[in-house]
Amino acid sequence: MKLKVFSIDVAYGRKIVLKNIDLEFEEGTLTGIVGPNGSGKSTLLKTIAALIRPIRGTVYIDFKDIYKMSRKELARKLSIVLTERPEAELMTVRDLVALGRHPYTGIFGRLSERDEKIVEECLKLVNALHLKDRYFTELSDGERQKVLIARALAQEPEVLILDEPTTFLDIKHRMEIMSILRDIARRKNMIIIASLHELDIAARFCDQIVIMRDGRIVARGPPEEVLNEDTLRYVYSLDNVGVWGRGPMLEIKIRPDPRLLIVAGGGTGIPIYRTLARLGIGFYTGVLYSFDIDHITASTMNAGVITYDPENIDKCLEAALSILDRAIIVVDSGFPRDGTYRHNLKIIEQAREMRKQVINIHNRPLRDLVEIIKDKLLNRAQ
Amino acid sequence: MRSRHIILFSILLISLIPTFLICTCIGPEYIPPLKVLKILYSGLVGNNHSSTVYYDIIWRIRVPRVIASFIAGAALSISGLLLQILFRNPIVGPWVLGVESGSVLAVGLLILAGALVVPGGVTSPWALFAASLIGALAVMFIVLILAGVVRSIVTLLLIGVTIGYLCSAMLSILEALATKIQLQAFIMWSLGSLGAVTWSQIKVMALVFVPCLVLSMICGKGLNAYILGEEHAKTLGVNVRVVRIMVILVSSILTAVITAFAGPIAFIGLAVPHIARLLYRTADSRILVPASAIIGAVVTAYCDLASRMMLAPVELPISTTTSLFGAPILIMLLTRRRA
Repeated sequence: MKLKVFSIDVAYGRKIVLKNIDLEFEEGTLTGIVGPNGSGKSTLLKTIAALIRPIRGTVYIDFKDIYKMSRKELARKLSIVLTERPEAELMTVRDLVALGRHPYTGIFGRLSERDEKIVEECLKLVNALHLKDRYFTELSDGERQKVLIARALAQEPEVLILDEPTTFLDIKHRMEIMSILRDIARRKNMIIIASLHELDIAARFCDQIVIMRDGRIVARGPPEEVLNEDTLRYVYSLDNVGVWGRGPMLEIKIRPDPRLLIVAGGGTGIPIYRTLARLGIGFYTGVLYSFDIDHITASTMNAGVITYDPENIDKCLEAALSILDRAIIVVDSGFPRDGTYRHNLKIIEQAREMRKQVINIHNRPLRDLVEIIKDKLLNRAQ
Repeated sequence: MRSRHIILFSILLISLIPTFLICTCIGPEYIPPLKVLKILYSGLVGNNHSSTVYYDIIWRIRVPRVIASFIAGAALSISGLLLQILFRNPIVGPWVLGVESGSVLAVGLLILAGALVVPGGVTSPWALFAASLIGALAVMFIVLILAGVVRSIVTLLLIGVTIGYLCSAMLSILEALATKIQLQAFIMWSLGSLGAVTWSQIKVMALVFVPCLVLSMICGKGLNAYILGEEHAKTLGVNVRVVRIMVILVSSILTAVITAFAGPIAFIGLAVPHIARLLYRTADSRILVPASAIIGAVVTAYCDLASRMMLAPVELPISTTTSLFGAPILIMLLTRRRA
């Protein structure tokens, strides 16, 4: 199953708002659409949901043209959570989520046992099962958003679209909603597309980022590749603001996994760490100076970090070697080769001698690394 | 939950019987319930040789009046409920939106222009209904267009009230221009209340009401999807256009048929759906449509009873009592909203 947006133009009246959009979405991934207000994010999402018809081009799900499907057929494949916040008075959470069963129920909308079960499952997926008998209007903004997502999930869609799901939420709920979406995309093998305003959140959780400006796509790809200073400066016209893509922001926590050792330094580790954290893959990293930005980032993530101790160099190399012993994959982040990280070069050499698989990330897309890691570590674990 | 609904429905349905009896017994001339039952029975078995004064009062005045109030209450309540769902606004109804005024204006226009006048009054109930429907639909479309422009719930309310005043202003102009005979026919019609409804008009009311009720109940599922807004409803697979046209047509038809024969009745369409919501604690249209119909019937029957008994022998217009009942509910709804 695949979602393909094929050279779409959209116009409101005579004004062209989307121009020549081509996109592809893989199943099991979360895509974030970012860009300034008025760049066409909502329009793109509504076009993919067939709420707006393009004047040129089309959208395919499973190679089928969505504009040629019946509303009901599409409702079983695709669901949407819009920015509009419904004032559903006197509706319990369960009733509201049950509305998502609409495309599956008969003329009077009676719920079968299976429908009831799916409603509960969807509430469980968004950690909101305990709210099921509460009235929707009594809930906080964060809880409401979770319930609305459960409502969309109850349609059992292959594609889930969300227009600004994190706006108006506090930081805790933002992170919670995003991790829920990321987990659902993986577990249900769904395509999830969300427009987002917070770049740091988008970068932490999304597998793919689509950057838009003036109804066009400026860049798309993994966040570590596309969210760079030049693009952001251009898209948001940031003249008086410096953009530091590696700056300390919120980090997703992981569990250290000694099977994966990242040999890094000088900030070269950060894109790797963040990619892995997003995928829920744990790792060890070292040997890093305590003031190294890589060190700060990895410790924030709760990764296993081997710290460089100038008083006792042998001891920290020993620690590194004991990790290396258990490692299956060793990653060379392409840390600076100017002597500052001489100890790390030694570790790489040692790894080669021990016939470990060493992956050099320098001048190589992170995607390749992810593929290898998934292949070696995740499959073995299963 | 389910069983609670069944019990509530049973109570409401059964309450129609005492309501019917009370409203038939009480009047300028009190008739004891047993006597009423006896006369009702003899009328139903076609045994009308016992034609007494009481028989005439019951079968020619009170029973049609109670039945008319039942249908009127049920019809206006469903109409109000449908409008509240369509506009996603709890503070609308056929009266506050000016739809009833539109009906009155259209009928008035045709009578004062001489189109519907026949010796001794106005034409057939169907012609009257058709005229009334044109007026209701015209106002409905104006309101729909304006609702697309203004987003505020309260502004929409003001527009409705303003349309009401506009309609009555235009009627005043027409009255001043009309001939004596036409004016007389119009005044006779506009004085009409539930008490003036004839059996042939009740037949029209019932023939229009029953299919509308069935249609509203069948569309319950689609109406529920509307709670999330039109775009969400679309992505749920609802044919939004069909539901919207159904709601506009059914609510206009129901309002028009009642207004044509009983004149405007204030607040019932706005207030009753709220009573149904509070009673059933639900937003499910599949429950609210029948519940509003029954509650509307009972409430309107008692309002009508009050309007003829409060200052007896003077009879008050039905809108007086329905306003006394409904206006506080509107004020409560307005003050409870934060926006």
